[in-house]
Amino acid sequence: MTRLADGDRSAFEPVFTAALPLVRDLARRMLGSSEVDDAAQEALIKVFSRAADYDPERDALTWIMTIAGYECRTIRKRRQRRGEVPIDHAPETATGTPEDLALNRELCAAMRDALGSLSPVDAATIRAVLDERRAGPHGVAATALRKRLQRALGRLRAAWQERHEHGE
Amino acid sequence: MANSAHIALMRRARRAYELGRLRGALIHAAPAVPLAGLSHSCCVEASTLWMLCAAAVVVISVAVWRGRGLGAGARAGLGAGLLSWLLPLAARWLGLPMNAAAIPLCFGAGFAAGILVALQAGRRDEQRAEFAVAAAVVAGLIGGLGCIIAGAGGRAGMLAGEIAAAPIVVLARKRA
Repeated sequence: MTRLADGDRSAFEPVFTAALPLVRDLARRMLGSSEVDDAAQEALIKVFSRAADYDPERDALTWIMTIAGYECRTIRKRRQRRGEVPIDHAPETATGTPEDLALNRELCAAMRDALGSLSPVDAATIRAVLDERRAGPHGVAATALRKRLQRALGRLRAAWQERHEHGE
Repeated sequence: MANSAHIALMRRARRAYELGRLRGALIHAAPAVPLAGLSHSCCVEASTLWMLCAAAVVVISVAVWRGRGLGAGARAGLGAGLLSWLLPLAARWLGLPMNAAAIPLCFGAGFAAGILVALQAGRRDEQRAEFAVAAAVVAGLIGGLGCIIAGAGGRAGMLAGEIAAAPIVVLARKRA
């Protein structure tokens, strides 16, 4: 890494060969098995785009894993925002403190609880959208699904507030 | 991972690496612009000044992007050139009579930059020549942005000072 940061192009291939399996393992641990290749590629690209900034005083492995880990977290957040990862199936983070893991588990349980209080149609609508089933449950059209989702999210919000903002 | 996918990924990573280096190189070259901007206020040869600035940006960018001896040399030359840039401008701002003092001052500034470059080149274990050439060129260009206020004589004086410094350092090292 020191040679690569200095501009020695002959160091590129050895670093690439060494970093690829490490970054793939990290992506698999953080994101689960789905789309691990894409995530690992993005993380690896990020590592190499910043290779010139590498400080030889730092440990190369830690530096690579820090950048790749940050990129994997960004990808995971992006996927969760887009609803590509269902809330009740989201892989729990492999990193973080035990408190973070416990909080994450509690949040997932609370969300499952709130979802469980909805009518089966509302719950199925939210789950279907989160799972990106474009046709929606029972083949509902896109416009109808959007309206149904709006109503279901409103009820979910109300259920959440009832449970967690009014002291229950 | 299939072989073709592996090669494609390696190419993408290599492109990202080169682009990352280029971005870093441009950041290193950027200070030449404000330095030229500061000289602009007391410079009559604006076109020469901005040509020198453009040359400095291109040379520093290419050298830092290529890296190794050239990159380290360009970074060292930027530091050494700052001294040559600052001295004549400081003299001007302090109100020293520039007609008489400009050329000796620029010679002195170039000499100091040359000493700095030669000392740093001497400490390197490898790629000394690449380092020295890049550092001297960049120091000359950056110093030229300051010495331009003394006209062509000032720039020539600075370059003469820079060139004169190298043999002195080499001789001193041989004696030591």
